Amino acid sequence: MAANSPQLTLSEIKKGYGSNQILKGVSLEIAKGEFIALVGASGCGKSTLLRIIAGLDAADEGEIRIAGRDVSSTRAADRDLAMVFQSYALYPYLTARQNMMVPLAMRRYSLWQRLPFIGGLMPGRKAIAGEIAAKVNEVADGLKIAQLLDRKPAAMSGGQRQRVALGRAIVREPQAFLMDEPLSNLDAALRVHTRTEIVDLHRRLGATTIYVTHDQEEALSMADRVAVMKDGRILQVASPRTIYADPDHIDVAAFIGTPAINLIEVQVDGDGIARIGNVPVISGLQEWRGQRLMIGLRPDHAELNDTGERVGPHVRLPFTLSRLEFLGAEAIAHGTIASGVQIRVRTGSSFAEVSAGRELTLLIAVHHLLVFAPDGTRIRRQFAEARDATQGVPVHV
Amino acid sequence: MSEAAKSPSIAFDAMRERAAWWLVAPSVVLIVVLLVIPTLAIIGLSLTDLDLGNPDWNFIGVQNYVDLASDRTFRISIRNTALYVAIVTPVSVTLGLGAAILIEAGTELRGFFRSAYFLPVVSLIVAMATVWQYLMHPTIGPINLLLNLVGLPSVNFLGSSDVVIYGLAIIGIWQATGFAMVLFLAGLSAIDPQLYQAAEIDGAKSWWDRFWLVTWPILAPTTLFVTTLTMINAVKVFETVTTLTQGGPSKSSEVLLWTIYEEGFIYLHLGSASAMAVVFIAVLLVLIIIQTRTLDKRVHYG
Amino acid sequence: MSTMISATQDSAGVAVVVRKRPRAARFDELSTTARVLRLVVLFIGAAILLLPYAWMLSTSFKAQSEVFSSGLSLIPQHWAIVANYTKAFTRVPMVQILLNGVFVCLAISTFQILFALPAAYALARLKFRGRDLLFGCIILGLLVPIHAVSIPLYAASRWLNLLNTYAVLIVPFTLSVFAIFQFRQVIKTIPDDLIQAARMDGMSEMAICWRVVLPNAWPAATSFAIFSVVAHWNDVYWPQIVISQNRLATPPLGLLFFRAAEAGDDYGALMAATVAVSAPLVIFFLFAQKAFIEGVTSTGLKG
Repeated sequence: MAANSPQLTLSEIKKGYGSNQILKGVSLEIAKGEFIALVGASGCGKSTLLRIIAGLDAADEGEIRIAGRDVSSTRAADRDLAMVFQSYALYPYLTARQNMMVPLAMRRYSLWQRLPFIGGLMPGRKAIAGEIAAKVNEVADGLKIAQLLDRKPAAMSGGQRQRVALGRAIVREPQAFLMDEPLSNLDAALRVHTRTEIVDLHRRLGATTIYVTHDQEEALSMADRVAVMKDGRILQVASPRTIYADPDHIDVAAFIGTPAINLIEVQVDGDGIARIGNVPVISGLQEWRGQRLMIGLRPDHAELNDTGERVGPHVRLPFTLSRLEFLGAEAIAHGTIASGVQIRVRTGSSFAEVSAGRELTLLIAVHHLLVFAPDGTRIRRQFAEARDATQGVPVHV
Repeated sequence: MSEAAKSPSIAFDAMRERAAWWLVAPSVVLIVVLLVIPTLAIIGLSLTDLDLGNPDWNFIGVQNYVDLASDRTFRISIRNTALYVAIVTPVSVTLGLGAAILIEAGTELRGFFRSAYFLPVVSLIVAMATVWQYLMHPTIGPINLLLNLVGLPSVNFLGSSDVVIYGLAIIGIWQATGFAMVLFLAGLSAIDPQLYQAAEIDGAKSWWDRFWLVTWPILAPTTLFVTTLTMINAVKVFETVTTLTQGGPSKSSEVLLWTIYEEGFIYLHLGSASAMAVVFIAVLLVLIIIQTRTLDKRVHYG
Repeated sequence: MSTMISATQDSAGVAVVVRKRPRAARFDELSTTARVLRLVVLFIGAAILLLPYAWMLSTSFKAQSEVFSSGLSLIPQHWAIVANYTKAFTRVPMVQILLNGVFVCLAISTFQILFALPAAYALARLKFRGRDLLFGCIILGLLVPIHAVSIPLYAASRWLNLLNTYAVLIVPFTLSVFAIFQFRQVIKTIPDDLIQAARMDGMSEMAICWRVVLPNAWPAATSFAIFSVVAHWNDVYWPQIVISQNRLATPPLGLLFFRAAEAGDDYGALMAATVAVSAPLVIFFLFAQKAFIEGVTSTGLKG
């Protein structure tokens, strides 16, 4: 195997329960030290995929390799992975310290040393116990949970349990960390804070991490790469920036981003010009003549009431403001463009002064218009700004 | 009604209170008549020498209790009951736990086994005791025929004073195992399956490791609960004795409830029978206190 | 592990290697050996537990002579079903005894629920003076079994001339502190809004109890009723104290009377009688297993 071979490789993983196909052939390569987020709506198969990687479920077809080793038929305990569960799955009758000792105790003690009641008396156990205790203390210091070590889970807050669960995963220095929605049981403020901590931790340990979440914001803010899943397939794997600005599929565009992307139906006329209602937008779509396409426009990829010069082709659309949603540092302008199509645009908060019903102009760089074919795939090409001869230059304010 | 208008909240409370009294009235009457008075009466009776065969009775203080301490039958009865409980409890709890774990471990025939093991619990014990008497019959009983078949001598399970308590205990175990099993099944189904997954990931590879890492500690409170409950039920052993041995042969199957029954309702010595009943309540009280203490610990997460 | 590799052609005509492999076992799935072992052990256990039933039925079909000679054979050579069951139903008024059992058990559980539910509702949801004292008495009641207070109850029944009546079989059990305790726990979980809405609709507290609380506490009531029927169908201690007439006997007492009347070793007829008295509960159980097991588990107490 080459030195730069991936840490974890999934090829054509399939899984079904009866007639219900949960995973329809998932392939993915994850580099050593990479933080990858599996994101998707519930039921997309992301948790099943994680469980298959962990070895808690078996795939019907496909292959899993960890550090070059084929583990498809290896049981979970032998895959050398650690997992942080959504409910943390801490042993409720053990203290934090004992919880964190379990993965080491299971692997380092012999069968005799693990015997109930009398295992502690077996020769050699004491020396190993000292090493385990030292390791647990070291990890606990790193996670700043040393003061919790003698408490049981019932006496801890959600955030503290979460850290202990992380600690239990870290002590073993596994090949990869699997995290199944580890923040979903925390309150909003703590969730944002813990995100940063996990990212810092990842940076410090440099451990390969697979992070499952339904929260696209979490995925974008934490991961090196994001894999967007839907209906048992990975739609796109890319950096957060690419996933956001350059999606391959309309479902990726629709799932990622808050506020959600504007999806506008356009009709392509006989000249290959896409129109919203009667207003021409872009040209160069000859092969889609007579069809309906979808155009995606991120709320922050348009400007309102702009008169300044812009580099590159721009589309200008009339925009009737219906409501301004003031959010402090920014505002969301809700309005209609031609023929009653509703869209949202992010603006500076100074727009709060503008009253409803006002006619404005929407200015959009053509490369920001994401065009999707009827099957949802992205149409990638250089579009030109379209001007309608009959109507002349679009309206200026 | 005009008062009600003045201070509606007080009027409301008074109305609710009247309603509440109507709701509890029948139960209050029954509690007083069937519970409070009899409980006080039994303590009172235990301080007398009341005897239904003798119209005169006297207040004799704690004399009944003093007599009990040296009463041969009562001491045999206590010893037998303790022996019976000491056999039935650990065996049926262990078998019940084993059955529950085995049933839960697989998927095939779960319902069938659960019902088969539970059937003795809902069967008429007097009737089944009769069947066991036949099964254990010294000459025609199938159990002894089986013993003879493998070259062992017959055992007179219910007719020999050396083994009669063990014979009764076999029937007790037969009945109590299913009861322990369903309680363990309920305990097992309450275990979060993610804990087993975590255990697997943590390296607990064999069922042996998973049992000691997850099942046993989580079931510990259930086990204590089932154990005390089985003990309480075993202390109340009566049906098999009244059906099969009537305390015999030669008092070798005297147990607490049977001795109280005999003293009170056969010999009609109500005074000393009451003293025995008070001792009986005290024994149960200790067991129930242990049980409620353990019940408080059943929930781990706060 | 062997790996099967099959080459297929996809639509573009490119050979794609699809690896199919034996499905790796999940950690919590049993191996074939373990599955077989589980079944064998459980079957042996079930056979031991069910053996008495098999023998009971088989013996109730056998002629008396055969009982003593047939050894371990479960299949009778000479069938004596009619003779045995005729004896079982005629030596004692068996039909009457079974009906007594049904009547007494139904009466007891009906009264228990009838009295316990309103009290439990009041204890759970209403404030009234003496509530804590009442609750204390209920806890006391949980500690004191009927066996212990049977002596004063017997003395009172005797004094009131109630021995050998249906009343004496039923009245001492009309109060179940256990039912009150159990229902109170359930009623505490009923949403407050539901009860407030009923009050807004103008229902009296009694009406709320039967029309709002009962439907919500119905599963608990069913569980309790089953538990109660099992306990009282089985009870022999109290009936043995207060009943001495055949026609008033409950099933277990009836069986004891039958044994006393037979005295000898007519095991065929005796087993026929045991089948007769234990069949109703067993059949009831087989038809409502889930409710039975839930009833006994949730109430957690027996006898």
